[in-house]
Amino acid sequence: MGFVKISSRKFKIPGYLIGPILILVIAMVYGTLGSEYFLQPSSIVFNTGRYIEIGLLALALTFVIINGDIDLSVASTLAASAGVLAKLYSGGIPIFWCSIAAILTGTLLGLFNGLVIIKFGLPSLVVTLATLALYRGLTQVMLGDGVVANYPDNFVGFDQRLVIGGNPGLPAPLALFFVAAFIFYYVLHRSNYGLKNLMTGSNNSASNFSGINVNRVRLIAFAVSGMVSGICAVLITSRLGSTISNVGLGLELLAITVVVLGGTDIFGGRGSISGTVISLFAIMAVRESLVIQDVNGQVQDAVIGLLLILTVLVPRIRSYRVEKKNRQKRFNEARAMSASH
Amino acid sequence: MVKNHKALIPVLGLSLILTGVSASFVATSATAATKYKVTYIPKNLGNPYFDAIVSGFNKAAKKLNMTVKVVAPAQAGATDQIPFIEAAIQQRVDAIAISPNDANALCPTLKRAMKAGIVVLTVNGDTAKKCRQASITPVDFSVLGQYLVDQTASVIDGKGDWAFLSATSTAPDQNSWLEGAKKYIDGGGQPGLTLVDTVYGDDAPEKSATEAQALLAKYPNLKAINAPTTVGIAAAAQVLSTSPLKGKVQVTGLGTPNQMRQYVKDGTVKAFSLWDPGLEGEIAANLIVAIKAKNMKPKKGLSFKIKGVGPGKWKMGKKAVIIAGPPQEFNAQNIDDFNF
Repeated sequence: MGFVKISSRKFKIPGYLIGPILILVIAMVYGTLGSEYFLQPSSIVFNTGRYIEIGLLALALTFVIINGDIDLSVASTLAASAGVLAKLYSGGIPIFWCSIAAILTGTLLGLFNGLVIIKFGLPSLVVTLATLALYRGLTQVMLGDGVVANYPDNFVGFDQRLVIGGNPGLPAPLALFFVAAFIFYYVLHRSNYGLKNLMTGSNNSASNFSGINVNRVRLIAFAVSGMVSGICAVLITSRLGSTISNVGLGLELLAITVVVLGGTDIFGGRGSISGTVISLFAIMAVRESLVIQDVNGQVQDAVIGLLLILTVLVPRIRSYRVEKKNRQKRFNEARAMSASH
Repeated sequence: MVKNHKALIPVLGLSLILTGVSASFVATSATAATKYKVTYIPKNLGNPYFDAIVSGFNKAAKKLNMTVKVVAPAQAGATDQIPFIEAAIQQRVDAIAISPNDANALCPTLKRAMKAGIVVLTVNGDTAKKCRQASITPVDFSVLGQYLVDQTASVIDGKGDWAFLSATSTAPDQNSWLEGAKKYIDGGGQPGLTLVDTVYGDDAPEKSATEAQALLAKYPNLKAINAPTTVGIAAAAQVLSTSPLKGKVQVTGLGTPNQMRQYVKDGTVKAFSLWDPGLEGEIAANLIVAIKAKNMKPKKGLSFKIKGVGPGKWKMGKKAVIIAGPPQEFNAQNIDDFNF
């Protein structure tokens, strides 16, 4: 029996992936059955671009959350970076340098988050809740109620470009996401830094005493989260061809949803890039299968909420049951022992 | 492994529910085999104003062999309508009508829709001109300032002191109307009226009521309060309906029939105005058919007739914008004909 178990374990899908994979499969079936327009190559090309910003933010947030932290300010960091991009571009600076400046801005804002949290020992939830408002406010001050549009044609529409041509081709955003996912996968699961992340998140003080520079690990994650927000600012500006101060409003919640649905523990210490990637595609499939069947926004949000609560609840119920069973067993043993005396 | 199977049960259950829901959706959408498929995307759902546009659409659709689907995002954010435009493109609808939440962010997607041969109209709000074929706007906002002055004159027989109760002091719409009103007065419009004050209720019911009360106390000769904002007019009417000055000081301006009905019925308000959003929907539906069937190319100066809608021809103005008509006045005689 032992042999059978070992060999079957090799092919076993990790428990945290079962939820997202199931959701992905069911949504694909639901969409295909529900609408003849769901599975079109062109729709895959046109629609993925909208989700890639959420996906990239989720990849970066996976690290932050594994550390036991949270970054609620990613969407506001994105907005502030987009604001800098727009402001510089209207000042006549070439779009390439504006984009670099946006990424730098994101990185700096992320570093600021990390430094305040670590230097003053404050909870990341509180600090990034504050910078969520602060960075968005700064964007409003920068842009006012105005709009910056008229970006050059070769900059606009990144999301509609194909890296590999043909039908279906590989859309540029999707290619970028896969490259990013591979890099993040390598760092989390194959590098020293990734190991330090997981250790920091599972036991901060023990990791500290065993020689891991916990604060540096956390600071890097915040800086990367800011940098990715800056990159997403460039992508979203290219996709929309315009900038206003409420750009990306609410994106942080969508990105955190992806991370948590992918099985990363919101209290830190556990998580995976594969979970985040599959979870992104699961959410994409759910949303697209609903919207193609004319389901309104509120209902879509409700379905995602329901799925999220189920995916986090089901493993909990399972472990609760196991624990209860073990407790009962121990109780029975103790009773049997006391009876024999 | 056994444990994992247990975990599947609730998820599978949910999938069954989803399949059931999908089956019911398919059943409803497969019934119609109509000539024109149209998707209308309001700013958001559950807003009576947009419901009125939808009922205008549906009224016209019945005669035009058209199905109108209405889908909307949960929030009115700049990009929240994009997935719904994409879905309409995928479904190869004949036309997309949209009340845009943003003038620029939707542009790339709307352009793609037009490239796919879909007619794109904006209704009650507009994008940049190149992102849609034509636009339908509820009323000519450039003459609304003058209209408000004349409206005030008509409820107090052209004589007396009056005041504006506006929204916020920075509201762009209201400020442009107020400016238009002052220009009209300075140019000799309605000489019997004296505009004594302009106050701002910030579109908050409490603040608007306080400001209305202050006006009544400050100007004993006041004959009318004109509130060109739906919040302000309701607040002012509410103050006067319980005041001894009810009927002696008139409230008018812009409001919706549903919020003002009780004050018209109890005699506080003689008449007020807004526009008829349903008309926008009717015009849009007819315009879609004109473009699709008669190969009409929307541009400035073009005019067309709609049977049973409007007195004469509908004309396209600058940037292919159609104005859905003069403001609609509501009074005790006609208020029950409107529900929004």
